[in-house]
Amino acid sequence: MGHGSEPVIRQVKRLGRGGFPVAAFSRIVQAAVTAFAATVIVWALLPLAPGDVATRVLLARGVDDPSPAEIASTHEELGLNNPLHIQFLDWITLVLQGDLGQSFTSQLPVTKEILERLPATIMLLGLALVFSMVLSLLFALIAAGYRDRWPDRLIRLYTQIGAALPTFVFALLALSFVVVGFQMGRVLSDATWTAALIPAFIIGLDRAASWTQLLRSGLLSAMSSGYADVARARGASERRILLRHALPNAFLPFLTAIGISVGALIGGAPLIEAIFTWPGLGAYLLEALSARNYPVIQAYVLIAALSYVSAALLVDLIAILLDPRLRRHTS
Amino acid sequence: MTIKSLALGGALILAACPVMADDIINMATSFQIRSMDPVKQGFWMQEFGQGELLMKFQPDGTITPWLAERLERKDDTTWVITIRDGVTFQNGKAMDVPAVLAAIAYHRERNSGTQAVVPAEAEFTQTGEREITVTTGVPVPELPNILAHESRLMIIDVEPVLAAGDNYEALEGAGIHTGPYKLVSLDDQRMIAERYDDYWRGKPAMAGVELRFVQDANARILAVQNGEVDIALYPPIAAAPVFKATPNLNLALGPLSTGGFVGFMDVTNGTFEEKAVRRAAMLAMNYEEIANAVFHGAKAPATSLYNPNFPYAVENYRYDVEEANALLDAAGWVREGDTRQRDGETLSVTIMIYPQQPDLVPLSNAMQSYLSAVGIASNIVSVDSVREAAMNDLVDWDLALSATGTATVGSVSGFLNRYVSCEGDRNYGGYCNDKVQELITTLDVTVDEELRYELLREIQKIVAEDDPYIFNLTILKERALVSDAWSNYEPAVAWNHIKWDTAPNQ
Repeated sequence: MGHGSEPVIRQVKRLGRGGFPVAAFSRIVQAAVTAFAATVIVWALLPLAPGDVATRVLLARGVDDPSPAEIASTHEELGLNNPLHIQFLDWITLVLQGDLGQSFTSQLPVTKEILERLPATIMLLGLALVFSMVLSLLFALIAAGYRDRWPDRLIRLYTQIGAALPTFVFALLALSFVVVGFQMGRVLSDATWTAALIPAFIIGLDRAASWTQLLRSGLLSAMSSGYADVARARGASERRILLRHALPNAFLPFLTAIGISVGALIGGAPLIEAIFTWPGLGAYLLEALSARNYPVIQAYVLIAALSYVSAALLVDLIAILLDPRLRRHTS
Repeated sequence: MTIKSLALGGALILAACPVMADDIINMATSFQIRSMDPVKQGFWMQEFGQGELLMKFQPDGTITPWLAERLERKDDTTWVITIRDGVTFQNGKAMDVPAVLAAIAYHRERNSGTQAVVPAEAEFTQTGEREITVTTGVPVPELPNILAHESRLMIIDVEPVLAAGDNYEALEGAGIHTGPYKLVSLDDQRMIAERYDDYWRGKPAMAGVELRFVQDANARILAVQNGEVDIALYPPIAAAPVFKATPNLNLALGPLSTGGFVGFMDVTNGTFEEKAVRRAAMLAMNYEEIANAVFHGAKAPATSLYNPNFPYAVENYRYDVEEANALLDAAGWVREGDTRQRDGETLSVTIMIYPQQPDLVPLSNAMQSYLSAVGIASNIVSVDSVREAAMNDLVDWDLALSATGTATVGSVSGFLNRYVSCEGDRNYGGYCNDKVQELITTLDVTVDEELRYELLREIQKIVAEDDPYIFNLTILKERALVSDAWSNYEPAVAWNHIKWDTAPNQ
């Protein structure tokens, strides 16, 4: 018990008074700094890329053999003769206006191309997130409820395999054995809910492995805590202790892990989308990578980084809202 | 008999029937067709049965009439094209001389590729009901090849194209081409085309075409295996043994292509400054083994700078380790263990490859072992773009590998002028041989076929034997992955993947 003999409930109330706005502000400032650092790194992708940017742009525009005059005028057009900090300011100003540049290959605005593909990616990742949350919740509860018995052992085996194998291995196995082997689903998918089921399940299954491990250990730790013993002494069943006492306590770290994993989810999507020919942002990124289409790569990395920062911020805010003890460090 | 039993019987009969082959061609390719822009994306339309050209490139290197009925050379600067009678665009309009002239003018005005090969002073004039006289001003010996090149002078109905402006979506279904299948829909996933019933050669074999854009090679392979597509283009050759062992997968091989993997040696810097070392490196390559073992027979052994079926191709590549060793010995490179030394320096080279061509990995590995057999140590460096790395000295390299056509649609001039000529913009290795330069310059204005062949034979001799610089490692065979029902499909040259009679096995 902290703060001498002051009861915990009073400590929590004291910390909670006026602590949330300060803590939230502090988290928002941290997130803004991280986001700014990410934009600098993302922007640096283009000027630091090997070769001349103007030549790349001209080649992508179909000018097979750009002359020195064309290259010079493209340097002028793209502002490449300006000092780097001015180039960055120009770029960030456009980004803030929603202009992510022009694709080297299609010469269309990257923002437009991204917006066309975004719904498919949201559909796939959204479904994957639902699958992974449901699966991890279910598996963790079963594993904790049947600790050291065969359901727990089986689930632990799955979590170890899931943590060890990269998602694309699951995806390739699913394509070869489920889709082609059992003729379930299609290799070349469209952005429909039916087509999303298998790839979303694969992503969900993979992600759920580590989340299950985390939630299971949180549940087991809560089940062996003092308040669980008190509940047991009062005659509460193991199921009631698991669901009413252990789960709410173990849920916060689980929620944090989910928030942090959103970035990984977006970062890991390209391979899965490519394997399942899913017409989303991931496949768009892979295509851009092979064509060295830097504006698209920049946009994708920026979106992934900002999604990660936003999700982490959201989780932080929820956490400090739910748990007043977390406000102490910042206040 | 109850309705229920009738329905059950019907269902059983249906279940017992063999699955009917789709009446459309289902194809998958790795490249996306981005729009119907005739200048920047129009070339795709020749590949999948929409667009056609005046002339057609054949596997033996010759050019034959297509939408033209005849092409005659009157003198060094005058040609006469007779266009075919009875051809219509897919929108029903006749393909007459004014329409063809309009298409040519459209490309000459907007297409930088066309402008680079058709002299500005050239004139295309109607001189008969179906006759166009071309006066080129200066000799253009490769005019037939220009007319057969998909990126140069595709025949389109210009009127709807001009009306559409930049709104290329308006051209979907507009029938601006003359080919057997009319494009009706295009998005970032697929292109859909329907049979053009009034096609000039007769009724096209299939009801339509669905072309899927699938970048991932594994997905294309599985799609064929799963029966979702009939033909997948650009299969990875490394997986050839897997295709053989997998049901419903067949690697269809077509005629030899116009190019392959070409090696360029840096003659201005490092190891390959010495002619003897360059010659030894070429002699150390086992061209048969590269084609038949490294690439599982899906490529052909290189015998010269050109496809061996072409009339001007010589056979001056040899695999001769003994002679390679003798050349290096004579040059003072002394074998010490696995490598050779001279004045304390080890004989070694850097091979430059790029990741977009995965087949360069097994090729460069094999080359390392061939070079090692004659005492040349080597390492491999992979770069984003060979062109950028070589032209801007981004890395140290001695031998750059690239997938390049040496005679695209039979045209030799472009390759020689860009890659071999002293001032060529892709002369990666800084090669400049006065005799070769003179031969290229003469070739550019020589129209007589036999004379051209002689010049080309001489060039091949110099760049491989006297002053080696550039050489083929292997010649590409046209190829595709097909399902059992399409096992007789023959991949065609000049990217003409779908023709009017393309159909599954009988």
